[in-house]
Amino acid sequence: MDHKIKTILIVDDNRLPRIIERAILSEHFPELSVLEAATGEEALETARKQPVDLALVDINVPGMDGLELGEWLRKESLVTHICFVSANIQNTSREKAAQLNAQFIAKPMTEEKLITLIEGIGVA
Amino acid sequence: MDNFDLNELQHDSLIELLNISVGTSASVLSEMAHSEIRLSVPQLYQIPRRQVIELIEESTTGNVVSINMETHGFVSGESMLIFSEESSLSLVEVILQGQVPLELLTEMAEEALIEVGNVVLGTCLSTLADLLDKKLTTSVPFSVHGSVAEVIGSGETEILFLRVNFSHEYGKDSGFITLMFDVASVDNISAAIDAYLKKLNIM
Repeated sequence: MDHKIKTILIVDDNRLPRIIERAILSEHFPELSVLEAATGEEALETARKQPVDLALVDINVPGMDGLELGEWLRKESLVTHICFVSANIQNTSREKAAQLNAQFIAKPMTEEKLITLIEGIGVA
Repeated sequence: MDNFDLNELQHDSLIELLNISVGTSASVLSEMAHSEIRLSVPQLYQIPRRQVIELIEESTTGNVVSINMETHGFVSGESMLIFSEESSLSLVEVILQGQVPLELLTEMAEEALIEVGNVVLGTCLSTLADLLDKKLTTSVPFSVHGSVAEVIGSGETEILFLRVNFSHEYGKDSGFITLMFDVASVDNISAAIDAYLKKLNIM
């Protein structure tokens, strides 16, 4: 996929990972626009309103879980790249991520993991 | 106390698999806390729930904070990350240092602790499920504050209880990773361990 990133949507019900991921992105990729959502529903609404190039999605969120959100994002073609970021590192979660043509990063998110992901896709 | 429905080989295998699972989650916690996490040997009991309170109170007094996740799948029960109130604050301080603006430190403490529970318990349970080639689902993590009895609950119902104590390198701060599975899950655990041992040509 050669669609590069301009806008990232961070989806996590907990503020700590949202703060950490935003801080890494601001420091290393200040040109990116970063959006946040605390639930799957909120993320879907956000992605329907504006183009999102990469969604960083926690799986274990209240209401619509991250995998279901991923299915909707794919079904409506709302996001080019999806990366699940989760402590649920079971093979079944990784397999579901692969079925959605999404990447998978085990929590906790680190500077190295996020930079590798972004550089692998490329910044517009 | 050692009234197990598992045979000796199954018991030892489960301890070893839990050791690997907890070890994986300790490495994740170490990454979050930027410090070495020391673990005790896992202890496994099949006991009434009220005895769990006594076992935890041997190592901690006063109020505790517990991050809980309900667990369903080939085993059902609760997973908890339990800290004394004092050590929970100290761990959160280490984790948040340099990550969030100073003015948000106090406000963020509870969410940070829940995220620690999410990552540690999620990693531990996922590793266990993968090792046994089984599937588990977990609830969204939530916190409970109170006495050990309030956090654990009481009753004579027997449960399979695993405890591992952990501490980090900056001293006395410690907590417990506890898994409490319904005894009804023991048959599934026993079958899953047999299948695992068979795959290794041990049975």
